[in-house]
Amino acid sequence: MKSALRYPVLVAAMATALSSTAFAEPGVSENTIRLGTFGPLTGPVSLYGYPIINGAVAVYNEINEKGGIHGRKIEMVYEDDSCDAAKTRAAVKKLVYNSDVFAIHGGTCSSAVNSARDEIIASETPYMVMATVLDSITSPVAKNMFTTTQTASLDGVTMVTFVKSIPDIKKVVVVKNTDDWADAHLSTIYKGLEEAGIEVAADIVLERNASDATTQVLQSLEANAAAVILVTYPNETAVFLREAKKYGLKGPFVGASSQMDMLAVAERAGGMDAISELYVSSYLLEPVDGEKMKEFSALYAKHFPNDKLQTLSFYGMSGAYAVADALERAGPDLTREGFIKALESTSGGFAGPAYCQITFTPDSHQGCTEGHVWAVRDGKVVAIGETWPQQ
Amino acid sequence: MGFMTLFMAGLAHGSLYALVALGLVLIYKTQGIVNWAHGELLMVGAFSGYTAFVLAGLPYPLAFLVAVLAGALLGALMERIAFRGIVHEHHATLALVAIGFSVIIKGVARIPFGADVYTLPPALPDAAPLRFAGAIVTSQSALTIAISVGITLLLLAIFRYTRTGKQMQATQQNLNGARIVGINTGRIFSITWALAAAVGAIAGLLAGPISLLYPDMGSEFLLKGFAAAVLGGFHSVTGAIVGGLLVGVIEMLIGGYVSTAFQQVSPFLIIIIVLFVRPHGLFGRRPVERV
Repeated sequence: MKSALRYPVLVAAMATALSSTAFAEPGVSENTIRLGTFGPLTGPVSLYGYPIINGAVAVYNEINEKGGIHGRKIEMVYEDDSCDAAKTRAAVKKLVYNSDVFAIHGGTCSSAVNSARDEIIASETPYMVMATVLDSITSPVAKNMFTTTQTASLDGVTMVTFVKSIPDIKKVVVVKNTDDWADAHLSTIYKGLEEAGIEVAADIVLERNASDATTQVLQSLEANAAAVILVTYPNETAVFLREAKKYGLKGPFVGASSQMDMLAVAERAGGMDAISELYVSSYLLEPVDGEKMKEFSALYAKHFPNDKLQTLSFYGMSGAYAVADALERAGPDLTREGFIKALESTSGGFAGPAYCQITFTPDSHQGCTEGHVWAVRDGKVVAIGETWPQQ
Repeated sequence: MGFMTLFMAGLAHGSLYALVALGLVLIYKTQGIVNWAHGELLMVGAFSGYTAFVLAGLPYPLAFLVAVLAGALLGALMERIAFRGIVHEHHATLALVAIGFSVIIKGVARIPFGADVYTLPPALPDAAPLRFAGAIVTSQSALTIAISVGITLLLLAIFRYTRTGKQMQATQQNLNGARIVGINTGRIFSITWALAAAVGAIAGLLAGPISLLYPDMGSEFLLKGFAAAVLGGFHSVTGAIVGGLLVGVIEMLIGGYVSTAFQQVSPFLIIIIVLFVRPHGLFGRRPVERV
């Protein structure tokens, strides 16, 4: 009896050992790949949390419906960070050490994610940015951290390229928020303006949550510049444009990609005519109702039929496509090292609703570097290219 | 730069800060409580007005009434449920309870209104801006200033000419004395909170078209209103009004003539300077204890 049992037990033990070796990578089983995500799911900024994460989840759900990747379904684990630095670090730790995820695709608040950067690097868990734009998250390059979101400095490049193409421009006004996000934009904007010999006639602060921009608009009027650059968040942009209309300040106003939801800005600023001279940098192909967005709108609506479709709904999709593509190319014997290698070899990759093609190299983990500009034409928000439209 | 334009914009914003400060002062004078949830009463007023005016399509005057009643009811409830029983507790306890209310009210507001940022149309959308001594004043700004002045005069009249107003003053001056002469101080507490909250709700309704509506919108106004109350003196109704107007105007002028970088922090600089120079505010008096 004893010897009769010995072989089957040995075989079973070996099989178990082999199978556990085969799926020794955290978060990977025979049928699933566990991905972690985090974002503001509660608190005042939660209105940005779910729509962004749901865009990525819609992509993963669709992949699952089609059989998964090498037979494995993607399983999501959610953590709430409330856009708070301490909670973000805790969320990362929980995903890595408690939930044992294979990789993380999350983070929608730049400062909070930046504060968890060391934690993410130390964990060696592959990490894809969901929607943060701060350059310092992915530059200098960390082996396991990637982004497909256009970073703030590159967004600044898109803005300044557009400004430089405005015919006969000599002077501009810069209206700015004061935080890391604005500073990262301004690092390339000031440089670009200086190179082009364009004078900053007034450099004006408009703080977060400002409910009035009278002084900022009056100073802009006094500066008598050819354009106003708005490195501001949507609410402050709306407040500024509302006051601009009131005091007769004319554009063009060139805004950051934070203002991509131009219809929301218009609504908050008091109507479409408030944004008639607004030109906004964008890293998405088209606005929500654009022809090229239909495929992605339908995808989001299919998996989240009760959600309101908005620009935010598409922010997380390009990262999800990059992750899925790398998982596919990493092959059935999935390891974190193989996955990172696959990510680093991405070239001209599909970015879904994003304007770019995704390219990573071992020296650059910022996968999307191109942006363009949106404006209002015939009462509709449309993409108008990368430079001032030729008449 | 357009001094008059900055001045009038400052007055319009200052009127809102004055209303917030007025609510803070009314409660503080009566019960010695700094209501840290007062910004949320403003927010409740704004969203009640939004619900009545935009969602239900009621005429503006009716929406105004709904906002006032909602604010007053919430204020009276807060006083009756929480504060009346603990009014003699330490200041820190009272502050914590008020902060607790702030968190709860914001949390409840996020259930229906947490998914977006809302806008409240102006009361007179078709009225052309007024041009006054070189300044451009929108109808909403003019309405805000007019209503603030009206409310202040109304409150002063209530205090001076009505029985309830006199009882409120008596309660503020000497709580035990008021009880001895038969004043129902519990009723006075409720009325005071209802009145303060209604004023806060009106501020919210007036702030709606110039600000944006979201559950956390009250924080900014609370801080500015607090600065106004400190500047004017926490024991003075007149001080709250003057303090509010001054904070609004100073904020604009600093932004216009010094630097926009100092505009948002100027109210806090005001608090610090006033606390150094005149700790009881411009209209406040050093409390005298008879022994």
